Parts: sequence; C-alpha cells; structure tokens
Amino acid sequence: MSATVLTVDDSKTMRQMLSMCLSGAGFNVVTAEDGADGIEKLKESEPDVVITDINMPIMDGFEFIETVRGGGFNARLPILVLTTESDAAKKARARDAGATGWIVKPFDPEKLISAVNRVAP
Amino acid sequence: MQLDSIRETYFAECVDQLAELETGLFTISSDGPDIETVNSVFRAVHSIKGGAGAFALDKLVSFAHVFENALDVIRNDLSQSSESRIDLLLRSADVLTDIVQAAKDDSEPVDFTEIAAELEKEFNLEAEPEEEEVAFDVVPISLDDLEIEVEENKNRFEISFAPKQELYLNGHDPQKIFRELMDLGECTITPDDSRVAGLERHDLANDHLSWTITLETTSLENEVQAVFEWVLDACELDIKEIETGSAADADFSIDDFLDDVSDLPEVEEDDPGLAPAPELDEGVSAIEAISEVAGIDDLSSGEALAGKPEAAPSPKAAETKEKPKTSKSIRVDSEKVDRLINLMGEMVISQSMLTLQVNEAGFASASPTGLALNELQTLTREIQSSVMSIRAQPIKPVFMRMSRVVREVCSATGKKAHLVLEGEHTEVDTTVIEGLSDPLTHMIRNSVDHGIESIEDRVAAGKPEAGEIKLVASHSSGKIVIEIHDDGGGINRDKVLSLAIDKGIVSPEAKLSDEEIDNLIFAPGFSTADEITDVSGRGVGMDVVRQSIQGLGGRVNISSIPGKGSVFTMSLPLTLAILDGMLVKTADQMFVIPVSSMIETIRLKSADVFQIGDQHMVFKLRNQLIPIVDVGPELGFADKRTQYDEGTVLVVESGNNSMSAFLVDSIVGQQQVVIKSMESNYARIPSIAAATILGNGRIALILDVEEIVSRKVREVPPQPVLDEIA
Repeated sequence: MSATVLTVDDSKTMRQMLSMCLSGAGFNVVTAEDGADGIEKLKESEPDVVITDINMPIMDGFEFIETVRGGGFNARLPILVLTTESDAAKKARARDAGATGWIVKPFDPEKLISAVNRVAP
Repeated sequence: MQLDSIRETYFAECVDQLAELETGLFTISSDGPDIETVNSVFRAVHSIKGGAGAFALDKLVSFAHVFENALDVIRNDLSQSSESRIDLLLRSADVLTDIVQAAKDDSEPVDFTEIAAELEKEFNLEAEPEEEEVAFDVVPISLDDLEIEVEENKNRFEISFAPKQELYLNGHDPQKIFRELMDLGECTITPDDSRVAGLERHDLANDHLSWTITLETTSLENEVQAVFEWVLDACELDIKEIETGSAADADFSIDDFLDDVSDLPEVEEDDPGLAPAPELDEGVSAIEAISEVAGIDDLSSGEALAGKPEAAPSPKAAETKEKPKTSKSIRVDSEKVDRLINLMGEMVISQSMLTLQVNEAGFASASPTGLALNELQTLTREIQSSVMSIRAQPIKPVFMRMSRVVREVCSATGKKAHLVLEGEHTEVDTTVIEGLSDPLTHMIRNSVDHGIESIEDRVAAGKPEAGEIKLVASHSSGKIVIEIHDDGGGINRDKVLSLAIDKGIVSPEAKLSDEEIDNLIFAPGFSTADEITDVSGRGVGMDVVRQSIQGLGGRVNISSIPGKGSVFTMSLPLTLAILDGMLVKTADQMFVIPVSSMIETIRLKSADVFQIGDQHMVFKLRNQLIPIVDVGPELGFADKRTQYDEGTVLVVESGNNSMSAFLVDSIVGQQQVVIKSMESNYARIPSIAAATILGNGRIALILDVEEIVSRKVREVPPQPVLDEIA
C-alpha cells in the first residue's frame, strides 16, 4: 500500500501542484486548506507524511505543527515545511515547532519526491 | 496538460489575491494598519510569488519578492506604516497586477525597476543579489556517462552521529537516515550505548543511543552532509573523511550488533523507557529494535515525558479556538445560474397563469384552492428572491478598482485625491456589476480630472490639498443608487452653457435651470476634442456614459454646487432579469411601463390638453406643459385620437429629468414581469425595450421610456405654461 501524504496549503495552485507531483510518484494525496483544516484531515486520513505551508490564514504552519506535536497524533509523523522563505530564522522556528524538514518553494518535483521519500515509512 | 490547468488555477487565484491585496491596502490606508489585514496582504503577495516560482515566472517572482520584503517591514512593526508608504504599496499593487497580466498573456514584460527601487529605498531594503532559483528545469542526464566513474574514486567516511531528544520529537527516525546513507554506498553502522546509563539512573530526555557509521561511497562530503541536513541542530554530528586504501573493517559490524542485542536483559513491559527486544532478523529491524530499547518510541510520542502532555496545547483546544469567520462558498458556472433564473422566470409566468385560471373558475380566496394558491405565490416570491440573490454580489470589487483609477488620474494630472467608499457591501446583480465598471471608471476619471482642482487652487480656496472622491452605494426602493461625490470646484455653468451654445446643443435663447445646465455635460456631442485631456478623454464622452447606464435600465444625472463640488447620481435596477412593471391597456394591447420611470398617474381631462403647432399635443402638469405620448398611435396600434377626454395619463421621467405624459386607456395593475429580450428572440424594435409573457400567456411589450421621452422632448421641448392658455 502506498503512503499517504497530507498537503496543507492555502493556495489552490500549490495544492494542485503538490497533488500532481505526489500522485505522479505513487503517493495517495489528501489536501487541506489551512492548519485548522489540516488538523481535521489528519484525524480523518492518518497520513504517513505531512507537507505544510507556513503562511496560511486561520491557523498558520507553525501553529499547525505545534498542535500536531502537542499530542493526540502519531508522534513520529514526519512534517515537512514547504515555504518560499528560505531564511534560517524561519527554518529554526519551524524546527522549534517540531518540523521534521523543509522544502524550499518553488520546489523541484524530484526534490519534493526525494524529500518525502526521505521521511516516508 | 495538467500543468496548463494548474497554470489556469494559478492565474484565477492571482485575481483573488490581487483583490485581497488591494482591499487590504485600502483598508489599511483608511482605517490604519492592523495585524490581521497586514498579514492577509502579505499572504496575498506571498502566494502570488509562490505560484510564480513554480511556473518560472522570474519577473513576477522578483518583483513580488521586493514587494513582500517591503510588506514584511510593516508586518514586523505596524508603526512603520505611513500614508506615503501605503500609497507606494498601492502603486506597487497596480504594477504587480500589470506584471501578473503580462505573465498571463505572455505579453511584453512590464518594467518595474523604478518602482522596485522606490520600494527598496522607502523601506530601506537591501538590494539582494538575485537568487537564481531554478524551477522545473528538467535536465536530461545520461546515466551511461556517469557509470565510468562509479568504480573509481571511492571515498570513505567515518560518521559519528548522536541524536538528541529533539530529533525524535520532530518525527525523525535514525533508521530513515541510515536508509539514505545506505543508498549512497556501503555502510557499516555501529551502535554505541555509552550514553545510555543503567536503568536506575536512566534519563529519558537525554540518554539515547549514538552510532558510528563508516560509509564507502562515490559521493562527496557535502552529499553525505546533506543527508543530515534536517537534523543538524538535533544531533551531535561529526563527519570525517578517511583516507581510502586503509579499508580497515569496522570493529563492530551489524551482525555482531544483532548478537549483542539479543543478549540485552529483558525488561518489564510497563517500564515507560524500555521495551523488550523482539526477535531480530535483519539489520533494519535491529535498528528499529534499538530505538525501542532505548526508549525512542515512547520518547518521541511525547507521552513518556513528564509534564509534556499537559504543557502542550491539546488539539481539542486548538480546534475550539474561535476561527475567523469565513464564508463558505462554491464556484458555480454562471450559465447554470442563468438557466436557473430563466426557469424561475418561467415559473413566475406559470404561476400567474394559474392564478388567472383559478380566479376565473370562481374559487374564493378562502377556499382550499385559493389558500393553496396563495401559498404557492408566497413560495414563488421567496424562491424568486433567493434565486436572484445567488447572482447578487457585493459591489465592492468594482469600487475597489476605482481606487486604482483615482491614483492613475492623480499621477497623470499631478493632483491629489483619495477615494472614500461607503456602502460597498451593497449587493447587486452580477450582470449589472459587469456593465457598471466602464461607466463608473469614466465618471471617476471625470470627477478627478474635471472636478478636483489643482493643488494650488485647492490651497487658495482654503481646501485640503488632497481632494476627496466619495463613492456611495445604497439600496433605495428596489433600485441601487450609486453616487460619486467630489469636493472639487463644481461645474462652471457659464462655461458649460457657452460651450453648449457654441456646439448648437441648446439655442442661445433657451432659459435653462442650473440643473439642466449641469446635465448638459451628458448631451451627445458635448465633449469634443479641444477639451479632451489625457485622462478623461479616451474618445468617450459623458453621453456614452449615460447611454451605457441607460442600457442597464438605469439613469444618471449630476448636480453641482459651485466651489463645493459635484455629485453624480446613478440609479440602476437590482437585476436585469425582472422588472417592476405597470401593466397598461390601450388600443386593445397590453404594455408594460417600468415603474421606476413613473412619477404619477392622473385621470385625463380635456381641459389639461393643449395643441402646439399642427400636431403636437401637450399636457398641463401643474405649472408646465409636457409632451403627450399617446401610446396606441405612437406605436402604430391605433389612429390618432380626436378627443382627449378619456383615459389615464402616466407621467414618466427619463434619466435626464425630461418628462412626458403617456396616455393609455386604462391601468391594469402593477406586477413583476420577467424580461424577455427582443434582440435575442426577434430583433430590436424602436420604442420597445423588451417583452414579457403575461399570466394569460399573451405577450406584452415593455416600453422603452428613455427612448420615447427623449424623442418627444426633442420634438416638443418642455415649456412653462403660457399665460394665455393657463
């Protein structure tokens, strides 16, 4: 059974893009529109990997990761941060929140897949 | 192909983001900065940039990047916001809109160096060296070329890797890191349990296994380093390159390790730190087992850590946190809605047919049939208004676009003005909104260009430097009323009148009221080349504006106070699908007169009717004479009447305040009628705006009041009552 990836991004473009790349590589893809929606989808779909944007309305990426790491979810769940912000401070903050790794936008599909594979079970 | 559709999504999303950006900046400019709005503005630019990167729209990315950095300054410190900065950001938003459009159309790229430099200067941004981020560049690599090297140049690394607790808490798994290393080359992984103290002093947070790994690979050190990219701060890591050739075997192999593991002492099941080692068959599961033995599993779940679950916000708490109100919406093809509205129109017609039949059959309104019919009528009305509301949209997006128009005209004319919106949440039918944009743009241009005075003149008149254009929308008796106020100099009536006389629009003898003079600017042929400026004069005069408003079934006029400013007032129907009509009967025909253009109805008395010249009849309405439009003969359904002693007069007014007296045999009643276009079903007929189907299935024509009145007024100009005939 192929792994399921949950993508959390407020931009429909990015969601479609991620879905296309990931499903092309054989992953099942579940999408969410913001952190709060991500939490809902996390409960429903129990993904193996999560990819989240940082800048989102309602619940941003940091808050989303903190919530997931706060308990009640698979604690070994890898969470990758997808963001155009490549600066160290953002990465550090994501890591502090509990992010597993990051992918810099614009992403190269191959790099995306290898990043997901790196943490997928 | 799929990329094309994503590209489409991207540009569709850009439209929303740009609107969000403009709305946000506008809100900040009027209400001051608040973090929510600044965030949403930032997010809009950020998303545009994100998508642009994916499609390698480099220009867009680089401008959005500067824009984003500028916004970040305000986002980090709201006090950094100032009027001039917001103004610059608004102009930048315009440029961004242009760049997006150019990218979408694949057209000539927009030059943004100037405004980007301005942003960098204003927000003290350091000009960054352009970061070359290559997106979606697929470089074909021939594997054949690479294989030559494979057996040569083997590097040998010794890696010491000691994960900290954080590594496990962030969803990392040493096993996966090892898996990656194994992909690079031949690996020997040796666990080191020296950091794991005995059970009695075991510290869950800090005691973890560490590993020494020897890796023989063709990869370079930075490639090996890259495997640990995500865990650099969450472990102690040392990667040493060992000279090749001295391929001394590691003193502890994975097989030895397996033996060791099976020797580990059994521990109690309920010990949170340790779990019994299961049977081990392979290296990979051995590592997994070691993780478990070292308490990694439980550690990383966080539950084993004292205090952790309580300290962290539970997902439940996050969930119940109040979400900002977002209206759920779905996108529906507008054709589907149009079809629904058409069907609804048919339903209104069948319902009135049914009512007619029921009434003719003699059912009392209190009878079960009458009551059921009554209920059906109520339901139909409700469905009708719900269906119409689907197509209704707030007028805000159109209004927001006007702020850009104001800025453009200001920069072209060197004037200062700001736009104030009121009632922008007023909802209007989409079809009306679509048709409103052009005339509104033109009127706004006109208001800034001709209405607002130059800065010097304003200061001299004791007014603030910046003029104010106020755009107001409101609902008023089934119509939407839009007003454009400016606090400029008002209309120069002498100049307008003399221009109008020069151009033969009015006769030099004509005595016009102030209001009539003001409205001369809408007269066809009033705007001419010599007073067309860069801004207002794009080959369109105000007469065209009036025409397009009339095309929407609305009216427009202007009033002005010298020195204080002018107000354009437009009134438009809420929808173009249904009309509030007055059903009248004349010459055995039914006609519909839009209620919106009616002023009053009067019983015809022959004493009020006068003849002017050979054929023109006028009606005395209080102190003035207005032309009579005898509807039957006018449309060729009857001969001109000889006696004016029977019938009803409907006093109607056109958009430019000209009045006429429509003469009909009788009034049948007021009802909502579904508009059926003549043009699309038959052909345009002079004097007829559209048709409708009545309850009895017959067709009634809807009169084009504007056209008829303006024709009549040309033939018989309204005049004050002369003493002799009064």
